[in-house]
Amino acid sequence: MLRYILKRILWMIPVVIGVLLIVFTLSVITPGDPVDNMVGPDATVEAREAAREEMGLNQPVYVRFVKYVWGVFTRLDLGTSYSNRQPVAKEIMHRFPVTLKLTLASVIVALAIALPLGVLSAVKQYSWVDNITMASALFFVSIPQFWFALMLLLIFSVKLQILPASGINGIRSWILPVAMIGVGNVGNLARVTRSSMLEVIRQDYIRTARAKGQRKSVVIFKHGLRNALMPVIANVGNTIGVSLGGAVVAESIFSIPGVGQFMLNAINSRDWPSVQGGIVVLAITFSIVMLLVDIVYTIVDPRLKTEFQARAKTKRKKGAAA
Amino acid sequence: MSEPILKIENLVVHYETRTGVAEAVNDVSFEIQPGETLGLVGETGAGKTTIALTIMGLLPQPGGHVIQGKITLDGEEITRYLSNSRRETNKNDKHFRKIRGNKVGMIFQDPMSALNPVYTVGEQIAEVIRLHNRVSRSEAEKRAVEMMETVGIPGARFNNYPHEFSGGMKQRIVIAMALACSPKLLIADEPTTALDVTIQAQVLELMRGLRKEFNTAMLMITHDLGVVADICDKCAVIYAGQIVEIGTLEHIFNSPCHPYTRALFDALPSLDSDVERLKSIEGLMADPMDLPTYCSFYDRCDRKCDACKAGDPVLKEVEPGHFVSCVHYDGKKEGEA
Repeated sequence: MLRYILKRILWMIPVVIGVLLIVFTLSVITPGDPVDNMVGPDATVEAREAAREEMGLNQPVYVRFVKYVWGVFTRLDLGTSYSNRQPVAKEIMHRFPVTLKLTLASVIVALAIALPLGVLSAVKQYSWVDNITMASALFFVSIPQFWFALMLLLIFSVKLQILPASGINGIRSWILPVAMIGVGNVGNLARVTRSSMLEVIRQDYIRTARAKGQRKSVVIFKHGLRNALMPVIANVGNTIGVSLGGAVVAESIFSIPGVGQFMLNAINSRDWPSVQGGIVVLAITFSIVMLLVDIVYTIVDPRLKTEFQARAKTKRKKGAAA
Repeated sequence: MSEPILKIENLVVHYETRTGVAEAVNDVSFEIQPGETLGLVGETGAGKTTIALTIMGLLPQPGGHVIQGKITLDGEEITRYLSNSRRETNKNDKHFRKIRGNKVGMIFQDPMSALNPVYTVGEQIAEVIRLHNRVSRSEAEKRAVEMMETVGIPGARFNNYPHEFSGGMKQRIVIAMALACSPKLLIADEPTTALDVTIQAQVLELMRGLRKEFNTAMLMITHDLGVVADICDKCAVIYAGQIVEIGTLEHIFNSPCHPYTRALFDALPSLDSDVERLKSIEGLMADPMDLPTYCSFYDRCDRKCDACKAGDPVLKEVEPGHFVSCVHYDGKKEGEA
């Protein structure tokens, strides 16, 4: 198991390099000279060249790329911001906790609502509870996030004036952004839970559990839900990825000082190191989440753990034979 | 005769589906004495499993309804706990929960899927013990280990998961689970169908031994007459939700009367005669959605006559303890008619 985790962590390196390659290429082919933003529009040619020299922008693209990647992996150096000449890593680490909190909060809240709803709809299939849940799930999955955010702002901040429209001060200011990101997740996860649960409650072992004299509710949650969780967990991994993206939107709408807002500002000022840094951090976060999801799999389903162990054993045997 | 463990009187069970009402069980009556094993034989769809699920109060919902009849289990009438209204469901389920796993243990057909894949087998056996006995977790685990050893699984495998066992071993574990609370009645729903022949023999041997050890009455549901001959004291042949013939093992095997029972025996390969093809029963079982008002076996019967169409035949005693429902047997055995 430990070997597997180590292997997965090593796999993140090519992922990060690949992501960087794409972002780097984009930054090169995007029109506009980052130097304009560094020195201002009426700087002399000498000043512009000095700035270019200072940031290493006069070097060929591939040299810059290799240097950058080298810096990321050896010194955890994400480069220096073009706009304020600060190390990007420092800026991001300062903002990253906010983004992570926002993402995780929205996923956890979504799970807390979606799991019971999904189970309920499955158990009472085709009842009015099921119909209403699934119809509203479809509705909330389908609506655009930014529009929903604006509606939330309109109702709760402008009309009712009960929730703050921007910034992060205290728990109340988290409600709207979390709701905006989370509502689609609730719909999505509730649908996955329902379909997975529907399959599980028709299994023989559910009947066995009932034939033992176990309560129906215990049968459903102890024997059913744990088996139904696998597709849900897979979905939670993706949901966290999508929510990281959603956080970028939410941060700019609600003016939350997170990585998303930071990156958006950086894109507008062609501050490529900051954009790259943000993307690297998000890519690594997503990879770690996916690794955690796979580890949780083996905890929930013992069959997978045995599979891992068996695979490791045959490999070792093969190695010994060779 | 002592009080029977299980007494079923005039049981009628219907399934309501979108396309119509399936008459799964039609006026079935039988009883099982303490320590006795009754074999319930019939083809797929004859209503065998429905009878078992009715006794357990586990008819598929929505759709399954007991229309009439009385089931008495160990002196207690349990059919009154079958809920008709949604409000009573929870209250009635409570009564049934005390029966399931405790008074009646059940073994299911497919051991591969009958165990929950995410819990250890030990936990699953201990669960039923803790449900019906006021014992601590460690005590329940100790008893679960004992049960495992009783069915021939080393207690050291308590913490193994179902996927780490073979099919035969899983069925042993299912049996251990069903017997863990020493039920008075064990319902075995085709316990050997999913197993290969050598394992079948082992499992039957085990069940025979355990039946003696626990003095459990047994309802053995099967479509395999060999299993019946092996383990049962009495045998009931069921066709299209009706018992067509019931009697002791000798009655059924030595002097089968109903044309259906006879056809079943004719379909068995024989060691004495050398035949190329086995006999089969022509046609399909009557559609439970559309049962005839006369004998359900009429279309496939090789002895049909006009009298068969006159009405539904009823069970008549042809010799003490041997009942047949066929117009050709009117209270007497064939030769005497």
